[in-house]
Order: sequence, then C-alpha cells, then structure tokens
Amino acid sequence: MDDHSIYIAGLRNGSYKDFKALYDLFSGNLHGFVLRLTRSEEMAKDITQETFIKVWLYREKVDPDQSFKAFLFKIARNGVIDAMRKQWRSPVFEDYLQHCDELYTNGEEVTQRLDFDYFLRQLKAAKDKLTPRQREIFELRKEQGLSPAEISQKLGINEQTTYNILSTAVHILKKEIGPGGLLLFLLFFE
Amino acid sequence: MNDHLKQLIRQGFNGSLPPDGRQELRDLLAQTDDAVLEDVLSGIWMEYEGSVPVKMDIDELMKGLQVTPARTSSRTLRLALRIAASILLPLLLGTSIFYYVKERKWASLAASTINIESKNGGKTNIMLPDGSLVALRSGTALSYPASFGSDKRTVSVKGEAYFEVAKNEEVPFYVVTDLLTIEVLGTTFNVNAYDGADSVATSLVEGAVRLTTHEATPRTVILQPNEKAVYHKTSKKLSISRIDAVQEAAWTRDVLVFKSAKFPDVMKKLEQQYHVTIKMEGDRYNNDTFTGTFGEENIDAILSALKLHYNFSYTKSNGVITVRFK
Repeated sequence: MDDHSIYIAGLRNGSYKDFKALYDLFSGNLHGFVLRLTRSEEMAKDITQETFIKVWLYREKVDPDQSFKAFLFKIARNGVIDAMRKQWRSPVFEDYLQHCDELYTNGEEVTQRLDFDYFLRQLKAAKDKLTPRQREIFELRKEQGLSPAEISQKLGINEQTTYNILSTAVHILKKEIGPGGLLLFLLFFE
Repeated sequence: MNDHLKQLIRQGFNGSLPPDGRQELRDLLAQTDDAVLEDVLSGIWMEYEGSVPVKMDIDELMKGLQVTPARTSSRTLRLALRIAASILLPLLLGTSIFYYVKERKWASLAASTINIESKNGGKTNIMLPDGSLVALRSGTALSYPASFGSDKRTVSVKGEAYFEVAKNEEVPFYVVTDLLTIEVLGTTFNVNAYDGADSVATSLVEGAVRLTTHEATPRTVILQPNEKAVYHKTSKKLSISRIDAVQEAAWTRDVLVFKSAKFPDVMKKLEQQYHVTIKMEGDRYNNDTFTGTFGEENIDAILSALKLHYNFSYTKSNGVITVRFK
C-alpha cells in the first residue's frame, strides 16, 4: 500500500476532502502526460477535468488494493487515445510540428514547447492576410485534407495553378507567424 | 513489431522524434487498434512522473455535483446518485456541444458564425472556446464569430443567459444585444434580452460590467455587484436598482427533487442551493420525510410551501434563516 491509500478509503466513502487530496496529487501528472502527447493545453485540460469528474462519480468503483494511477488511466484512456489520434491525423498538426522545428533551429530553448492551440490562433489570424482564393485553397488542402489534384478538379483550375497559389499562401503565412512573430506563450515542461 | 511503435511514441512524448519519424508514426497509428495503443500508452503513463499544474478551479467544477458526506441510508445515496446523474447529463451535453462547435469550426470554415440555440424546455450549458461558461435559458439563441477570442471575445444573445466569464484582461469580452452592448472583465452576470422585447435587463452577481446603449449618442453605465440595470427601448430610460442577483439567476439552478427525504436533509439541500444558512430550533421533524419537486421558486416560496406540510415559522436575517417549530 502506498501513502495515498488513506485518501482512497475516504473517497470511497464520499469524502470530498480526500477526493481533493487525490486531485492535488495526480491532476498535474495526468495533465502533463496528455499535454506531452497532444501538445494541446485545451485537450489536456478537458481530459483532466472529465477524468476527475468521473473519478468522483465512480468513486465507489475505486479498488483500494490497486494502484490509483492505473485506475486513472482506465478512466482517461478513451479520451487520451482519441485526442492523440486526432492530432496525428490533422495536417495542421504536422504544420505545427514543422513550425516548432524551425523555432528550435532558430535558437529557442529545447525545453520550451509552443502550445498547439496557440499555433492555431496565430494561424487563424495570419490567414486574414491571404486573398480569398489563397485562403480557400489553403483551407481545402490543410483543413479538409484534399490533394492538389482534388482541389484543381473541385475549383476547375489546373493543377499547376493550385500548386502556385498554395505555395504563395504558405509563404505568406510563414512570414506572418514565423520566428519573432510569436515569442510569447511558450509552454514549460516540468 | 509493437516495439517500433512504442519507440516512436516515446520519442514523440519526450519531444525527441525526428521529422522523418513523424510520417512513420502517422502511418503506424492508422494501422494500430486501440487495444495495442492503450497498452503502449499505459506503459508510458505508469513510468511518467512529471507534472504540469492544471489551471482550473476544481471546487468550481465540482460545485454542481453532489459533494456531501456519504450517508448510511442507501436510499439517500441512491437519490444522491440520481441527482448527480441529472447534473452530469447537462454537463456532458455542454461538453459535447463544445466539442461539436470546435469540430465544426475547423472542419468547415465556410461557416464564419457559430450559432447555438437552446430549444424547448430545460437549459443548455455551453463552454466557449476561452473556457467561459454560459447557461442558456430555453428559447435562447447565442452566436459568436469563428474568430472568437483572437483579439476580442464577442457573443450575441437573444433571450436570457447566465455568464461566467473566464478572466483575461487582454482580450475583452462583449455581450451584444439588440439594444445595448455589455463589456465584461472576469465576472458573473445574467442578461435578459428577448427578441422584440421592449427592454433588456442585466443583473450582476460579481465583478464589474459596463453597459453601452445602441443609441445615436450612446450612454454608458457601470454596474456594481447586486445591481440590475434595465433599459427601455421606447422610453429610452436606463434605470439601476439594487437586487439579489443570485435570486435573479434562479433559473440556472437545477430543479430540486425530493423523494422521501428526511426533513433535515431537505433543509441542507436548500442551504446549498440558495447559499444560505438554516438553523433549526428543535428536532421535532427529524424523522419525517418529504416528497416533492421545486422548480425556479425563490427560497421564501419553498419555505411557504413546506409550511403547509409542517408546522413551523421562520425568520430571516443576514442570510441566516431560523426555523422554529410550533
């Protein structure tokens, strides 16, 4: 038995104080874990919240003889797996990772991580600098995941034109949010 | 074969995944089912001892859930669980709407405005992208631009809504109604602005808001907690009165349901719901039970109804209600 088993007994009896003690012990751990997997503060916070609400609701199911940490994972796992899959499927997440690479080669501290949500907000603001056509093509490619060929067909333009517009759009966006444009809001790990 | 996946995920987790490993990880993830992924993640989780504090108020989050000491009676416990379930449901609904909104926002950027309507019966809880919580009364419509939060936070309301605005002094929060605009700094308030109505009422629970009328020469007024501003369209009169703002927002609270609840438990529940202290002089009804439902009544209406069942009188001073049995 480890030192928090006393809180588990209390939690099973409906003690909010003991619930809080467990929250204090484990919420940062879970939050940090999801943050590392998804790079998204929003996702990490949502999952932590939902998990602890469920801990409270299912408090009678907590097994005092098993590790509480393992129990937390059982509750959180579906949300964690969904969030991780979602990130890796998103083309914008790849853009975000590339952007991070560029930041680090530009001399940023490696221990600092740019938050994915912040990147999204920056990207959204930067998109205002695009012409409607550039924006449309960029969004079809990056947010709806269409290939340049599919975009050309959909819009009735030739493929080379799509490539050209896309590359101009990416160039403009990079300039807009590139290093120096966003030094604030870095997330610190541990 | 899972070893390679495990290694890639671990590298991603530690921030040491090289760019050319990313495509590989992406492909592997697409072919891996949840059970395998769960196994890998579970291993990383059990070893991970780091911690990044969460910025949230757990007490606030749990406030809606039944957090009282467990009772020995299993009947009370079952009731408590039912109440907890009835509270969680709208909460989850709120969360799913929030996810739905987020999904939609990124899937189709054609829609530049997000509209949410709370239809027939019951209220809808939503969380805005900045973490602010809004309860919409039935028949209320709320909308905000897809760009919400980038440089300002603006929502439009038709109907009645209760706001708990997340503090962010750099990004001002505005609530726009037909007749006036409310500017907010981290605060809790109620807006009543039904479409076509002649007036709009704003009641402030805590914090501060500034109202600006939509007139040729706009007028501005700053509200203090427990003040209510009513603006009339036709008379153009803007009046401020002192009110009990918590009472004003009574509709945001959940319906109280009692089934064979012991009288002292009924009182305890009322204390929580209405943020008052109830002192009982005597224990005459400690073993009597009560069955009934209360909606959006104020506490006086509820106590008056209870007086029909039980023989008592009560007095109120400074938020303390003293119940005397006859």
